[in-house]
Amino acid sequence: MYLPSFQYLAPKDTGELASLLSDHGDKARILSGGTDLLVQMKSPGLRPDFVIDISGLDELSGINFDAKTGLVIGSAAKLDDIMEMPVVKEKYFALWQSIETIGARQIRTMGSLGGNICNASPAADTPPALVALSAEVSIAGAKGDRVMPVEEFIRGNRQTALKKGEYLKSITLPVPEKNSGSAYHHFRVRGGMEIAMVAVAVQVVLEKNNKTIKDASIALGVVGPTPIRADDAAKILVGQKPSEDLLQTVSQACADISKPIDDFRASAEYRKEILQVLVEEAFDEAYIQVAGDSK
Amino acid sequence: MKQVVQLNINDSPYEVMVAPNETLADVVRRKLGMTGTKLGCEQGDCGACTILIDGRSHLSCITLAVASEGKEIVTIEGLEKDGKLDPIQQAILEKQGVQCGICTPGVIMSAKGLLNENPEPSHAEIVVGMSGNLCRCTGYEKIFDAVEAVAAGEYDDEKTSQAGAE
Amino acid sequence: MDQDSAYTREQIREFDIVGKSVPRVEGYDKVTGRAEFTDDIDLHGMTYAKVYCSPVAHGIIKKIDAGKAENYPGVLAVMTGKDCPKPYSVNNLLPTETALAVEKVVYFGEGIVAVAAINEQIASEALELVDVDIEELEPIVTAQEAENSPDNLIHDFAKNNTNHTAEQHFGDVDDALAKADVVVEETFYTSSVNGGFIEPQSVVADYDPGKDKITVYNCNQLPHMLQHTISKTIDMPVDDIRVIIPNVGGGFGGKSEATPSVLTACFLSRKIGRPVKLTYGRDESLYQNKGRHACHLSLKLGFNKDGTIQALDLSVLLDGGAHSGWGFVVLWFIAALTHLPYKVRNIRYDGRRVYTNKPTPGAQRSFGGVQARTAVESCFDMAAEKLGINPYELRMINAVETGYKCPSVVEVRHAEFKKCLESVAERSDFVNKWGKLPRGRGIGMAAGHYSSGGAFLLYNSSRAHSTANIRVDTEAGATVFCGVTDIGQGSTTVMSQIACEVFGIPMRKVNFICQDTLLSPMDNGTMDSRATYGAGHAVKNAALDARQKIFAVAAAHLGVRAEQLQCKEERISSIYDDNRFIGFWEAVSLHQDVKGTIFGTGDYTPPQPRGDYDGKIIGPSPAFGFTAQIAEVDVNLRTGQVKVLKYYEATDCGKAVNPASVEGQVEGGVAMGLGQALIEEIVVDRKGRVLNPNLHDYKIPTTMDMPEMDTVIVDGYDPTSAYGGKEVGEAPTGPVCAAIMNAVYDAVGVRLTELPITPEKVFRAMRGQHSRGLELETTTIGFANAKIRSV
Ligand SMILES: Cc1cc2nc3c(=O)[nH]c(=O)nc-3n(C[C@H](O)[C@H](O)[C@H](O)COP(=O)(O)OP(=O)(O)OC[C@H]3O[C@@H](n4cnc5c(N)ncnc54)[C@H](O)[C@@H]3O)c2cc1C
Ligand code: FES
Ligand code: FES
Repeated sequence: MYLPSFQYLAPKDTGELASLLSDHGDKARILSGGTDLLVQMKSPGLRPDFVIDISGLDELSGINFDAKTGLVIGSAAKLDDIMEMPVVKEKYFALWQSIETIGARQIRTMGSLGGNICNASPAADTPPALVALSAEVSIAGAKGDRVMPVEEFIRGNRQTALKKGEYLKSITLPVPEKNSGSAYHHFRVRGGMEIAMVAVAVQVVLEKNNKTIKDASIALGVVGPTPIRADDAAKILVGQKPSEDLLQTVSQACADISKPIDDFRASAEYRKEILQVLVEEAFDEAYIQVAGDSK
Repeated sequence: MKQVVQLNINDSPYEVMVAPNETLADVVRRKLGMTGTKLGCEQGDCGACTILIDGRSHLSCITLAVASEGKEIVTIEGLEKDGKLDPIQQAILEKQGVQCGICTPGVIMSAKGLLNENPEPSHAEIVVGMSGNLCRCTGYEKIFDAVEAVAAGEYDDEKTSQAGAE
Repeated sequence: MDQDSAYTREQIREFDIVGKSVPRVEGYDKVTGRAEFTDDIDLHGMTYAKVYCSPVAHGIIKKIDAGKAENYPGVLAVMTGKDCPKPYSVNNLLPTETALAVEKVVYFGEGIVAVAAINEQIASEALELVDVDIEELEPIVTAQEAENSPDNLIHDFAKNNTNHTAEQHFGDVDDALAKADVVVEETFYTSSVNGGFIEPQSVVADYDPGKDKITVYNCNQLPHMLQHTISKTIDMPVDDIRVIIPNVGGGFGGKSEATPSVLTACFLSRKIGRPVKLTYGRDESLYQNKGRHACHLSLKLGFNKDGTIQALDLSVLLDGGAHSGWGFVVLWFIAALTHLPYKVRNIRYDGRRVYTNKPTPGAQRSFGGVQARTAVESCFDMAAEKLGINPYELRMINAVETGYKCPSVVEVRHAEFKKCLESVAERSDFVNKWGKLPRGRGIGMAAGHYSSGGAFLLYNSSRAHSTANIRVDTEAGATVFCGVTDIGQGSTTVMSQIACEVFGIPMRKVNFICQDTLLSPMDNGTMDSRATYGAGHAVKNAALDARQKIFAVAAAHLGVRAEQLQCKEERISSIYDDNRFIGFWEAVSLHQDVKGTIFGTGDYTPPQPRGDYDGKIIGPSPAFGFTAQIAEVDVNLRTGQVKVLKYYEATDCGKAVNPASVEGQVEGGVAMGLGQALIEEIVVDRKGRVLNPNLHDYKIPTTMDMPEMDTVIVDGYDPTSAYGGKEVGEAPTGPVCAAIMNAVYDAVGVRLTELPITPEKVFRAMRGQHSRGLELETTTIGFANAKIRSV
């Protein structure tokens, strides 16, 4: 299985990266960990003339937490390195869980968060978590930087908001409010090395009483071409104390807006059923992180 | 365009002419004759091509050779030192974590990477940590046994590297 | 015949090397990367071939334009089906397979054009310049469609697309069913799965123009059969073809036939006079398949109130894919396997195998066994419930024992099957748990058996099934020449252990030369779990033959009668006086002084039972291995997902020559069954395209899919075997699906009858809905060949 021929470019810094991208435009593809790009290039279809390797750029590999700005992750930061930051597990549990489930150890060692987002696969694990955690991406280009929420960045199946000459610089996750918790739950058929069939990420913020829900966000994964922010469903939770009925209403509302595909892996109908289970489970786990064991 | 690349493999410098589209697996197997690294799928799904880059497990079938300059690469050929097996090799051999052997180099390099990151993994951590390596022969039981034995220090000062059966 | 009369049964139990978990003799090479597999071979002047795969499953080739490819710099030869049109098949039964498609394409991914070039990249690039026009025909993608499309024939000679049919009737099934107190009846579907060996098939063909001979390196289980297939298709005498089998990266039956790539490489190598390497990608490996037959089964079992089984009525429809393969054997083997491991006297079997435009299945590990066990063991549990008898008891009531004679000529010369059942039941506390676990938790039992090599093999049956030669001298130690092929199961180690035991020498003194038709004597190969039993006999006989010659010298030297000598710890001594001894190698040296190097030879052919009924040549075996298994599962009541928590197994393989290897066979065999039960299936769409030709979507179990395993080898010794051992390679895979299906029933009260048991199927069954069938029009998967013009 040979890769098609291309020219390999390894910029020394982001300045050079920007100029290479503007020189080569559509003929170039960025290579980070390569776990998506090289696999795709081995199948017919994707044949860039230039491959621009960003994996050596320290400027894009940092992972920094600041109590004010939040967590800033360079687009080329490795999935494993992100998981190993204690603050990620502590404050952004949904993201941690979504990374933990990606591929296997080798894939997490090689793959980057930026790659997972830019690849824009409907089945990618981190985007739903990032959406639920209200993450924003910074895009760098000749005309300066742009910032937008992850759900706007991912435009469709394998489509992003990146324009010619632009690249993804970093991902910023705001500091979660006090009394908040988050979780990412996914469903898969094989125990390991498996992409999700359906996925859900939930973030909840509770009032001081640790019971009433102050705010919530829900993101649905693999049930449409892009992650779906289920804001209307999440709103149902606000001001309420959780109950089985409430959660069923919410999960039903999520199922109603989902648009899963029907393929040989599972039917759309079944995916919707699973989606509801995951909404409830993810909510439970996020809620328990703050409220303790009792609903 | 081919270029000369300096690769540091198993503590030795290699100067190789490679094209950008050659994977590290292709280069070690075809250009350097180190065929211990195996290919089962060539797209990241099976782990047979696992090698260490800077101490961590990587899939050489989806790693570019040109991008591997300046890194410390270890293949299965690099584990045995002066005719003495690495503990994990010894354990896989003795516990019969090897049958047909096609997955074995990848399994060993993956276990090596796992133990580098976590020298005393629990059983559950071994199960998760080895999930990127498919083995069709063993059902994994004896591979778990071997990694556990190494983690438990059972092979710490293993002197025998004899293939010997006795 | 066991000539080793000096050993009494008691002595046998204290072997020096037999019965020890000796590490693999080739293990050191495997853990260091030294072990050479076919794709690792690099020969002087090597060239590389690639194959253009058909983008359609059924069609007429209108035109092939390979001119541009031929002129592409670096290309050495281009080949199409017309260059090598002779069809082949296993044992020449309905040969239809060819090196490359001739005029017609009959399955997706079938090779149409091959290119040999100076390197792989050039070969791949040249293929992109090939233009093929195919007129697409309506593909046949289910077995039912095949039978009901009289005007759409995949092969012109096969009416209704029928490949083979089989019928057998013993006793009077109708009468027995009418009289039975309880009759259970169910239909099942067992899915199409692939061997999933991690090494994709690879071949190096090296034609020697000087000698007009060819050497072929190929990961194949049956080198001697391969020789014949090559001989026939490329028109060369058998003895001009040397087949060498390097290390084989898993076979499981899937590598027991010639792949078209072997013939392609041979043809190309002869054409250009240089070695040609052709290694399949994972996609091609899945298109070639030779995995397990998908099978529709319809089964009726009749029992008396006391639980004794009265009748078994089975009809099956096998989805045969595009070619014959081992299909004939699989079809009859299902019949043979239903006779055991229970004492049923009235048996009727009706089987059909049909062609479809799908990857051809073959003889995958426990072939016929998974299909038969899935149906029979499920129906046993259904009957147990109706009868009010615990499923364990019901199996015990009907279990076969040593000496049982089936209504066919099949005879069980040794069985510890009941011990297997007892062992798993006791360890898992089955009787107390079954039917009593909380909803969502379940426990299920199933059992099975397998033959240790057929008494008759489909090919070369008339000859000795195994031959071994041994050379003993002080220059090389003991060197065994034997045709058995180690595909990872450990036959090289086990055969070496047997030779060591006879000579009383350590493993390092034995060399094992096998897997090379020039050096190793004829052997029927690694299939049908025959290696340890069949080749083991031959090696032991050869060693005894050589030892007799050494004993003659030692006897004269010691003044002890040869029959009173024994070999132990590299010494030959009197069984009555250990102080009267001579060193083993000293005796060998004495022999060499006078008569030269010692050669011993031995062979083995199983007893040939007689009988007169259709299919009589498939089923009889000199020995059967048995297994009993129990699965404990958790079924998620909301999603239908089944998780196997714990797996108990007990094996009767006679004496375990190498216990760790036996455990390895069981654990790997169970893992393969578990994959088929839950996650594996080759998925083909309406157009016959394989939707999952990669290891991401064709899912074999990972570490995270395996339950905790508890396996036991029950005490046993088959006196008919070389050192008491018999098969273990296949039996353990057979009952796994059924054990899990029975456990799911125990957990949630629904009986799944269609594999694999996906979460969605369980979910639907729990809601009383039917699972959906094949209704796939489109797909989201990118095809390897999407770039190729599809007409
Ligand atoms: C065996 C296997 C299992 C996998 N399992 C999972 C799984 O379970 N879940 C999951 O979500 N994914 C999975 N993946 C996919 C993949 O590993 C992840 O998406 C990974 O995060 C990609 O990161 P990367 O750095 O390797 O990306 P690359 O392959 O380097 O890049 C991916 C894409 O993003 C573009 N890109 C990368 N960085 C930038 C940037 N900074 N700016 C602009 N464009 C950029 C590239 O051009 C390319 O198109 C799996 C892959 C394999 C091979
Ligand atoms: S060959 Fe690299 S993962 Fe399979
Ligand atoms: S030992 Fe054969 S695949 Fe692992």
